[in-house]
Amino acid sequence: MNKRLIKTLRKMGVRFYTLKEWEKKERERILKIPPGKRIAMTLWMLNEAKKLSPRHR
Amino acid sequence: MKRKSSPPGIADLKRVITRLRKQGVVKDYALAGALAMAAWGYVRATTDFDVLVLADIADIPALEKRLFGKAFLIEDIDAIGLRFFHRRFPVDLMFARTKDELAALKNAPYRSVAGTRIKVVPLDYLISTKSRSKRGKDRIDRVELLKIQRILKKKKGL
Repeated sequence: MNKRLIKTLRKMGVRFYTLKEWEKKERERILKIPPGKRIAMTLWMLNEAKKLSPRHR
Repeated sequence: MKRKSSPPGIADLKRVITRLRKQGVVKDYALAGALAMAAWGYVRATTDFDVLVLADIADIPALEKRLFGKAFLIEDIDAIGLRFFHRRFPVDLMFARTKDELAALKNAPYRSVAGTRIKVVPLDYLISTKSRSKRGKDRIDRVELLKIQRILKKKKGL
């Protein structure tokens, strides 16, 4: 990525992460959700994904 | 009694994107990530919505203000995105910049989900992004997507 763009993004206040940091952040976010809600959320998303799948259509 | 709101679905996501398109901050979009994989036939659970968007990076402050989101850059994979929460569910808008990403947006086919027509990134693009990633789950995704690609190619050949 060009240096000018990086500079612009920094000025905009864009947060910079490495993939490892992003993954860690995601894991922490998911672990903060209570287990019951986590399961409910996963099932909801799985259902949304199923709706999109060719077998469902 | 306090009413609990249900998590957003594909139709809600489409509504948000349509609003952003009307406001002119998003020019084009296509569903990416795990939901796009589902649209191609590989269903797996996910914890967020990923959308590839054609938007000007200069509009990041406007998008942040409208969506109460925060922009991010993942340095090693050179990805610029903006995360916002829609009914407490994370939605990642990924800014299309590379030739591949722009082509993916241009060639994205439509899929219908319960009356909602939504654009989905092409299978080839999904495979190429999974091939570039070093994450374990992406390797598994790639294997499954390649199997689907083989099946689709066979069908086309018939």
